Amino acid sequence: MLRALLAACLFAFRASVSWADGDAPPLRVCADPDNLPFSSNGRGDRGMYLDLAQQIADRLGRPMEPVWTPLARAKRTIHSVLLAGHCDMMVGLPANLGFMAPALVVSVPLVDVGYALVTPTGAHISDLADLSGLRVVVEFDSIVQDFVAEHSDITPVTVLTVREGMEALARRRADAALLWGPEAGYLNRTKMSGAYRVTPLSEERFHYQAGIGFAARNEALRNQINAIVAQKMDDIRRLADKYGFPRMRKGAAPDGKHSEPLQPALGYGRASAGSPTSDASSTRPLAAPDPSLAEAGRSIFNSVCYRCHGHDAMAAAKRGDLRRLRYRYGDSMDEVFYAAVADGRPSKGMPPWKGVYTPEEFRQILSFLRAIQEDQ
Amino acid sequence: MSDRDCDTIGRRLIGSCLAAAGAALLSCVSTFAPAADADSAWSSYGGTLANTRYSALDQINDRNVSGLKVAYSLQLGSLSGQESTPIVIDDTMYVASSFGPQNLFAIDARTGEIKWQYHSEMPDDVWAYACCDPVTRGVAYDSGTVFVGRLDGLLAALDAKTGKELWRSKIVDYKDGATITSPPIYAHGILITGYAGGELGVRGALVGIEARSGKELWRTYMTALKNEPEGDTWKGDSAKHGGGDAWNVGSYDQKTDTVLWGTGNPAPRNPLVRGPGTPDWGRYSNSYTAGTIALEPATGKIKWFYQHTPADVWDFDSTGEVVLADLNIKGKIVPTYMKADKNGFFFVVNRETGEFISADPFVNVTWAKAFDRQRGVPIVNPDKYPTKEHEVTETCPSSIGGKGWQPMAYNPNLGLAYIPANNLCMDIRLSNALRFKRGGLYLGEEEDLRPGPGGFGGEIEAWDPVKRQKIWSVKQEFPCNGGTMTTAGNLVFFGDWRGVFHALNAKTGEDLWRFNMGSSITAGAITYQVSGRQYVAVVAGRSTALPRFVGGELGERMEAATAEGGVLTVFALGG
Repeated sequence: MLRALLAACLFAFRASVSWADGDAPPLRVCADPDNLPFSSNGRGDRGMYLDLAQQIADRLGRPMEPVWTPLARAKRTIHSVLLAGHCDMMVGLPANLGFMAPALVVSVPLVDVGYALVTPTGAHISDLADLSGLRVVVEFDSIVQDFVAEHSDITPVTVLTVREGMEALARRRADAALLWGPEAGYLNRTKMSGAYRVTPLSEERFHYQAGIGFAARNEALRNQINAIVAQKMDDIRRLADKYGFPRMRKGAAPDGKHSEPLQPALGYGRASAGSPTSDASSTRPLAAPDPSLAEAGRSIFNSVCYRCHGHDAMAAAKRGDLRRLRYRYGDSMDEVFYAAVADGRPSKGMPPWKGVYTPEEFRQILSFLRAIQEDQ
Repeated sequence: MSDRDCDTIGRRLIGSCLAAAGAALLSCVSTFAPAADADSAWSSYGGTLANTRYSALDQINDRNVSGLKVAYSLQLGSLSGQESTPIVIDDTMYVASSFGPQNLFAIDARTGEIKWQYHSEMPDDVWAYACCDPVTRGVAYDSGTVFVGRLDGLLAALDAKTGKELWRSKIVDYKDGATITSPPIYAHGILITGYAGGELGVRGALVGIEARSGKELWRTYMTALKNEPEGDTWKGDSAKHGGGDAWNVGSYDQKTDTVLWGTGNPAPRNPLVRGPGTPDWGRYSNSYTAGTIALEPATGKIKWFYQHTPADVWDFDSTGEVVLADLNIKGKIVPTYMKADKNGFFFVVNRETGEFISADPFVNVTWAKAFDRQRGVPIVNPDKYPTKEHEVTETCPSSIGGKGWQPMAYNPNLGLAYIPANNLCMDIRLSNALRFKRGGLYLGEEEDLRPGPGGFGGEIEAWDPVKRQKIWSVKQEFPCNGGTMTTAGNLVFFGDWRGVFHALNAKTGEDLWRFNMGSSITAGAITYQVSGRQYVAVVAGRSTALPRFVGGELGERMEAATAEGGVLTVFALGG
């Protein structure tokens, strides 16, 4: 016990000071060797994610060591490499959505990534509504392929890679393309002399906030890096610009604080290093379920919480059955909700969600849960 | 000329028997497969290219099997799913490990003494592209050459005496997400192989290769583009990346010179990309996916195609082995193939015409009510058809399949097929969740598997394909039990998920003998005879991927039941 405490103190102490020369263990960063603009082991650009990892490693006083990890089967790779401890972190994982929780913990959101509309600069195509009657490049098995499939007036030109999609545009086999924004932006800048306009799709479902992922046992490192990146948001934005990541929209900040109102929806953690706990605890219990709030909450619930608690909270087991919160906790239901959701119940597998959802989103989820309570 | 010199299939009759002198030749004349199963070798993955996994050997039988003891074992030297079936030619066994194969051994089939080892050196990153476990299901053999399909998309030919590589030929680029996990089949000088990878946008194909040189002769795709026959069964340009990959083992009917193969499900999962996205698929059936295709081995020309799951949306590959047998149906001997499909129906189809005969549920099935007898198409239950607006719950069977790749056996004496069946259902969500490639991640949680009704994970079923009913069944705690093998000694062998290898009475299902191998058995067993002694052999080694696919509490119990391993164990009477 004492030894563990000492080790923990020592770790905290060492982490807070510079390492002696040659003494610092490398910061091992899982990265795909062939995935520009994100990462590369080639002779040219190292990629946005590796450049960022280097800056973080510099601040930690540790050398940065890439662990080359092809991401063709991403979830399995995260399991077998990151979670298995072969590297310390991986940049680019969704910073919200509860992705692979609770085994995985993620930093604060760093940069917006999502699909973009790519068009020849002179073309009068500015959003999805303009695609009717056109031949449009889409990536195989993607949400944009689904979108085009829902519109019989658009002719799909299906590709496997963004590069193939940009080539289809260049050879005039398509009039426009829906492609992964950062890759399209990078290729447009480096290979196509900026001949195309790369406009992020404004609909939120085509985007997410990327952060840095860690195995849950490395939460201390995550917290340390959260503190570093909070001071580096301008550098991060510069790196994203350097690599041609399209900016979400005018005025949108890299930490996801949008200057324009957006539909409340899953996926836009407006969370920053400071968590919304204090906001959450000051939230007043709702007098009655508000249908629109509850519906938004249901949408979040059925995207993330359902994995443990069941679709529409219809869990088979009584343990974890959220339809019985009022029955169990009565008037304390709201307090119990905020405490359990914000801080988690690690011993029961419930991860902490503060910093992932906004106070508004917490209110939406609670509103949904209030609407479905059963009395027995 | 001894039995074992006469192989079952014409290729070796020609190879070895024509070389023999006159009178001996007569004794080698053989008709279709069953008679030839008397062979004491196990010459290909499924015993013969009819894939019956039946042996006419009966030295080991229901009366003496209790005296079966370990003769020897061989460590395969690798972990993760071991799915290989050894083959035995004369006195030599060829057995492959997982990972590519990491190790391929030629051993003395009587003692296990190693004659040579082949290590397929391949790039470190291959595993990252392989779906599921990095498996190898075994090798093929002809006239002194061993052929092995490799995880890195290459096909290699080895000298059977020395293990020296004679040639290697690139079939497909693993960096596109395509891998070879099964042995090719051999038909009069031509090797035929498929590959896996449809879910990453690879267009499935069967490929014909000249056996002596490795040169590619033809490539027949399993999806049809707009300008090709059947091209109008795909919406838009979806056939280009439409999957249909034929990743399991093929069959060959010498009488009609026909190769038969099961094909994978169409891609992507969202049916609206490939057709109307409703149970009324109309002309958008997505040929040639999720069915059985018949080809000419010399040219790759398609003879016929029968689709087991048109316009699939449940992940029902139809890649299960195609078992060839002549059945007496209403007083007529009918040349059929049988398949216990992932979709939960047991199919009997005329193997010379592709004409539908029957399809009956062998497990709990909810996605379809039945098959239309006239047209041979499923009557889909609309409530179990997922769309973006409609999540489905308790669709049965699950995407693991009513039966998976684990092979079944057919005993022609008893007229029974032995199916390793799974009792699982699934919930499917075709969400709007963001997905993208390479740049990172796939976020849509699409399926949750759950145990089916009845409190058991799987069963070994004896199925009568003529009476179209289950004759007996042995319930199993877990799904994903091993393939079956059956003999003239009234025996069925199979291994279970706990790693226990069983001999059952083929007529009744009574458990006659068991041996704990210490790691899950998913591969099928073999039997062979050398120097007058009959042996039974099986490979064990737990899958890494299957418990994770199953997931939940059941998946955790599957993981806890055994550890990973990799061992071949060979049994004989008295050890």
